[in-house]
Amino acid sequence: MRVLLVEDEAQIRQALVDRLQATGFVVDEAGDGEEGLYYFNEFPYSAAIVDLGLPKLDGIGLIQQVRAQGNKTPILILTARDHWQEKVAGLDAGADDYVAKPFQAEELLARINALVRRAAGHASAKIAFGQIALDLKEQRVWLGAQEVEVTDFEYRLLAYFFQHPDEILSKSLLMDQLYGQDAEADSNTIEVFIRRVRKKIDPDNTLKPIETLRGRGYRFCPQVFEQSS
Amino acid sequence: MRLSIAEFTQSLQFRVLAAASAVMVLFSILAVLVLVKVFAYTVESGVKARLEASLYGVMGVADVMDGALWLPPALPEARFNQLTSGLYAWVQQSLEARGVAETPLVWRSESSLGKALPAVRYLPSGEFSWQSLTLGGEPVWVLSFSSTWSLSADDTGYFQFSLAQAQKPFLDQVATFQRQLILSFGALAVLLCCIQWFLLRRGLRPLPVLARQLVDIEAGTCQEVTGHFPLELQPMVKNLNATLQSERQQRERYRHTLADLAHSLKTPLTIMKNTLNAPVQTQEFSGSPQDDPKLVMLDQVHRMDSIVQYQLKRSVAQSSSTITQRTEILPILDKILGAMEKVYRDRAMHVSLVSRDEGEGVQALMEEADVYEILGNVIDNAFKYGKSKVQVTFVRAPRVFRVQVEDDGAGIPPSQRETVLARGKRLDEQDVAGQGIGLAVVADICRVYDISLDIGASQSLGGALIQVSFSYFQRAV
Repeated sequence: MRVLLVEDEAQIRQALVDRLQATGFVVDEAGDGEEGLYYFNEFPYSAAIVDLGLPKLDGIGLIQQVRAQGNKTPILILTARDHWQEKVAGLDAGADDYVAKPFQAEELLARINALVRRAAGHASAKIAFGQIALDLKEQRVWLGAQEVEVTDFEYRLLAYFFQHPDEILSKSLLMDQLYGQDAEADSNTIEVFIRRVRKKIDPDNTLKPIETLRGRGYRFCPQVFEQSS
Repeated sequence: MRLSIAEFTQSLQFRVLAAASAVMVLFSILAVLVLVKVFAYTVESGVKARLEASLYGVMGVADVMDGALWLPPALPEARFNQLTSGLYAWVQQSLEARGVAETPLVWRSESSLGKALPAVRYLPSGEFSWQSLTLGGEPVWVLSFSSTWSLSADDTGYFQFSLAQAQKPFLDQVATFQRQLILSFGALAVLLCCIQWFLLRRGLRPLPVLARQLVDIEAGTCQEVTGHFPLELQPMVKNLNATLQSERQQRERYRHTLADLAHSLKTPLTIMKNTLNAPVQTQEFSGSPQDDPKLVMLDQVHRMDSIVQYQLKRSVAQSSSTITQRTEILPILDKILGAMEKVYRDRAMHVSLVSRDEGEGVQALMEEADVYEILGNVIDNAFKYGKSKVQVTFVRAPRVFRVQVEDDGAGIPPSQRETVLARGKRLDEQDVAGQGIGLAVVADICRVYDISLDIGASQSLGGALIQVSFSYFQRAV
């Protein structure tokens, strides 16, 4: 999943980028509000982390502009001044959650994951469709009672499918979400991963949960697991 | 303190004096002009009245003889008979009725001999005219009257009698009057300015006294403004002293807060220092969490963060000045509840607001930031520790407006209630993992504003009940 981090303090930004990437997120980073707005307008994100005290365009102004443009990306605000007036102002402007500095990285990650799940309509970390289940917190996949061994990229791909069921996801969108805009991955890589994931979640090739829509992309249809269980 | 001219022109004294002097000068000029005008008019009116009387006298001595108008060479009024007397008379006849556009001179007084008579416009019979003309080079007022005389049984003559009075003696009078008036008013204006300046200096004397006292306060030689001041300045002096006291108290509070902060941080800093300086072999992880250096450091960092947050919030809360803002409670409550529902969306908490109407137009006598801190911390506490329900109730009493926040969580046992409220003060004394400093901050803010904060048990939901009683003002709804 791709997230945007808008934080002007370079050390905090780098530490967060490292931590988010280690957790499996693809991260775009911006050092001021105007750059952040540019990224919001150019790319789709699963979530965004926005510091309130930004140069050029402050955090609340950035969030207001993003929401005014109809962008519904879940936003978590970072605030150095732990005053309720500022926290409420940020949430009122359109943010979805807040974390006060200094923060525990684990808390921030948990809140980001919660926002991503919520945006996909899932109240809990575990998403299940019939006999297949995926735990966003523990990053594990089960088919029935059996855990399915998946690599990091395979998990990320599955997690994105699970959070966007029945949606047509183009190759370029999947590339952006899994690799980021600067990566030079071959688009065939996606095909390779799709093939491997299909084998792992549908070993008999009877259910065919991942549809290929020629020229348009892929669609994950989880109802096949519910019908078969 | 002597002021430069430039500085003096900026003073209140100069402005009032300049304005009053300008008014006085303008008044004097206008008064002189008006009085001179009135005097001149009166003089002229007097001349006119006298000339009118003389005119009738001249007409009285006129007679018709042999079909012509006759007047004696010398008139009873002696001045008509004296050269350069300044009083002149002449009679002209209009031949217009006979088709001749001429007005030959019929008679003239001896005083007018040798002088060029002015051309007086001819009047219809029975009419007067009053004109300012020139006779023999000197300005004169001319009163003329036209009358019809029966010269014979079948002949009528139209004659215009004109009397002229030299203006110079009267104009000299007016000029003298004007000069005397200017001198008198000028002297009066100067005298009034001096009196005004003196009265102004006396009236404004409390201001330099006040300024000197403020200099003394800045120098630290006194703490407040003292002495007796006029009624108009007393409210200002009173408020100035109240503001000075508030500033002094605020400086004290900041000093104490910084001292408390420095003192409170010493303990966790010491622990961290000891942990970092411990010999390598004693840093080996024994398996017990409290021995793990990383956990110890993280714990102390968390503690330091809590201390900094608490002291900062305390210093902000205690910086309330004598000028108290009024803040509407209901809009802030709505925003906080909206924010909490967002943040705790996963918990799907059910929130109810009881007696919402009671809160319409209620303004807490408190800074807006402090209302946010109180309601934010109390409601966040309810959402955090409640299971599924939060209830906010408004209760209006004669002098206080109570906001009750209840949850269906585990509640706060009576034995812990004081600890929770005093937690912020004890952060440097004991390990306080668990509940945060939110309610301690609320308690501090309530103490500053001298309002009550009560913790109890919720009868309806079974969890905690926290009640804040705000002093309030009811806005017209």
